[in-house]
Amino acid sequence: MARIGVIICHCGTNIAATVDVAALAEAARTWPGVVFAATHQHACSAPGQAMIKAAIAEYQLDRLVIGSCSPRLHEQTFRKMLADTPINPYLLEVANLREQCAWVHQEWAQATAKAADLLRMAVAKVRRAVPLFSSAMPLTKRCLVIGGGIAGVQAALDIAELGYPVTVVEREPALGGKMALLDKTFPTMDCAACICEPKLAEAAHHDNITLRTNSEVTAVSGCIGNFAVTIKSKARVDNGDACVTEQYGAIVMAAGYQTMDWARHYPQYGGGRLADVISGLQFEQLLNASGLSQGQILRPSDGKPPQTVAIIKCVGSRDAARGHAYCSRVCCMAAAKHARQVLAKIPGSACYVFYLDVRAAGKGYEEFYEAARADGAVYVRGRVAKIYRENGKLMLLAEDTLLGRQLRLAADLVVLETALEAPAGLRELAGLAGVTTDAEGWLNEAHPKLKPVETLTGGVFLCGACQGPKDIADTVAQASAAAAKVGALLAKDSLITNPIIAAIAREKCSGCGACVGICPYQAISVKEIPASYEGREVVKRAAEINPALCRGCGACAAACRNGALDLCGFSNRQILEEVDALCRI
Amino acid sequence: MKYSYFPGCSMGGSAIEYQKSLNYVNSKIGVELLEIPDWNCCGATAAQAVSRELALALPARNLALCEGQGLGLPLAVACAACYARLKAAARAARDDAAKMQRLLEMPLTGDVPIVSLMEVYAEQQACRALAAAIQRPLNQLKVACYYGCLYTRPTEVSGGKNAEDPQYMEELLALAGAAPVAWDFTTECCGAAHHVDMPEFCRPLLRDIYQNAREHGAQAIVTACPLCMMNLDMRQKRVNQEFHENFHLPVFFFTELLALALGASVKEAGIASHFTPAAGLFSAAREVL
Repeated sequence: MARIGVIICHCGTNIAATVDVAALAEAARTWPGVVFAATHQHACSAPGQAMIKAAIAEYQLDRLVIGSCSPRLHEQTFRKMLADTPINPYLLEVANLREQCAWVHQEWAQATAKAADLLRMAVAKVRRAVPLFSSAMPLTKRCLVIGGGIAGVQAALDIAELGYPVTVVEREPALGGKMALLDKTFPTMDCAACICEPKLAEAAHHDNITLRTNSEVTAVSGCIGNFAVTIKSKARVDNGDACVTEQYGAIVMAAGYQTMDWARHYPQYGGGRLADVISGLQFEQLLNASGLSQGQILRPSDGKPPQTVAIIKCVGSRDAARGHAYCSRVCCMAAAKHARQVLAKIPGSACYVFYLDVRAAGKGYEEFYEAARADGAVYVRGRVAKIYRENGKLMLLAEDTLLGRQLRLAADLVVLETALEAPAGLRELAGLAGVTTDAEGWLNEAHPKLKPVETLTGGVFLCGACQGPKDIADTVAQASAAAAKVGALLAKDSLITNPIIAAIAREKCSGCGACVGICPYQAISVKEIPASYEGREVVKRAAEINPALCRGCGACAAACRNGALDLCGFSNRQILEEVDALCRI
Repeated sequence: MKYSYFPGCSMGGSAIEYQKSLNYVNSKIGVELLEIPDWNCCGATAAQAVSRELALALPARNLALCEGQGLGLPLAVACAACYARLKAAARAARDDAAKMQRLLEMPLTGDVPIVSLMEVYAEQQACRALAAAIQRPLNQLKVACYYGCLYTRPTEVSGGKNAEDPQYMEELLALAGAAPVAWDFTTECCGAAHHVDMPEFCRPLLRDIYQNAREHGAQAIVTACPLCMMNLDMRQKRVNQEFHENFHLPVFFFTELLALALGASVKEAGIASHFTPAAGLFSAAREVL
């Protein structure tokens, strides 16, 4: 006879404010098999866990139900706690009384009744639980970095220095990403190439780093510790496309960003028809000493230096109507930088910056912006409504909202600081790696504050602008952070496998193969096995689960017509008992 | 191709050339406009200065009369202000039927599709008929198509596809053999009725329109709104005086040019009565010079 313990967590007031936890404990004591029921303010805390362990010892409990927050948060915590007790860590059920009950209902009686149902189901399920055991799986101590810009290169260098082989995949023919396209970088006015090139050169020569440029990832299978990735390298000269499939223990997404195609969304700025209205990145090409004009700022229309330059910020950012609602984070500093460069390179020139706000939050950033104003940049607060050509000049119709007046500016060159966007193909690439993107297309981190460089997919990390717009300093910081996480993973001798996977009773399997197609992870194959039939030795076909690939989704168990497949930890019997408990049978 | 029709106050008066030329075009391509009986002024800008309720009730009554006829046809509107006000009333009726009922005391669903004349001719069947009936193409006359501010904004009311560059007029005039220029002031305000009470602020707006049209090589400006036409055509001389300019830009209703291309005489198309001399663009044989 089972000896079940039920602990109901108050979760501070998160659960207790809406659910009558004391009444639940009292009711639980009457359920068959339950020999102990109690509540605690914070079951996950050290005192909470101590209380539970003491109860297990005193009442000789052999399985446990905890009514608390989502198992996503503390199931692992409680399993670890059980490792110190005689109870197998998988004889535990967590009933989600918070996210699925107290946090979505307001009415006391109804919420308590629902919580009682959830607990009763958990008790019914744990009654039928069987001990499960993890095993150790070897891992491949190699890392794949997708993206060869500063984020990917920095991550690769750090991982390589930790001693692990790294492959960097880059879809362009060269490394460097967007940073290599810049002229100078804020707030130090370092030349971008001068600080970036040494890192690229180091990556090219590092013993542990393999570069695959002009290449893209086309397929990813496997899971943490053992990914199989197919990389296609595009033809160079006459070689033809080549595909390789290699094994990696970890993947770092460092795919970077692209800038917005402003001409499509801002027809009022000329829609691309006005040659002297250019984007910030195009301006960087003009500024660059190795650019078409050897670093001289010249108008695209007539090749003459502009005397009046207008810079417009927030083109496509902070503009839900025409572009994106978010702030692209780097443009305020880029605008100040561009203003300083105009005023330095063209003596006697005038430079106007049209802004909504000035965001200069980094180290040395505010001082840099002040220096732009000291150099003579005129900051006008207001959006530019329209740009058109008149008598060879560009006319800007704008409003100075601090003066409360409309203004009309005749400029020779207009620079639009355009929004940063998720790069083309990121959603598809994310899908290959099993990672999700948000509504704006950026990759989702596991937690924005506490897990900024991890994803919800084990073994896949991210860094740099593909997670959201950011400057070079933050990108490099994230790249090193991701490398540290990879290092922690690859330093392990083996990975503990998750025992919540499918199991097959081969004597019941008819070899129909329905499960093979259903499995999203290609973890099932049909094999020929020896069997006996009417005393004779025969060969029959039966399904086989690959425990390294199985993620425990249960789709195969639902599809199996014979009931040969079942899911450990969520067996058919357990689920039916839950249903019975809910329906009070 | 049949439509219910709301002419609005100017069509019989200050924009009589618009009515004349569109009648001609319709007769040539087989479009039939059925005027709503007992229609009233849409209120335009004047009613909005008096009261919100009046500004909604006036156009709403016209919609109710149209729906009441039960013809089930879309409603064609020639003037930009009438178009905008009728659309606003239709939207108000859909958003808050009870309030509209209290205001109007007539049944109104607001479901009648409301289209501008440009959309009437841009519709597939009309467009094909137009192309087939062209007799005297406009010889690549460079025209700046001017929509004014009300056809495409506010976008929640007009539901237009491209507020900055609608292209309806350009497509029609290209069919008629003209060469529309790409320019920047297609939807900038002409000053509208403020030329009456604040002329000194409004004339620079006209100057900008002429300047940009000229800068982009236009020989003429083409419009689809009676008030825009009046401002651009009638006030050009005064703008020239004030700014010491010599803009000589004839201004046309788009239907006048379509009528010409369909075979109308300068008089039949209404061009002879313009303020800014326009007939000079055409030879005695009504070919574009």
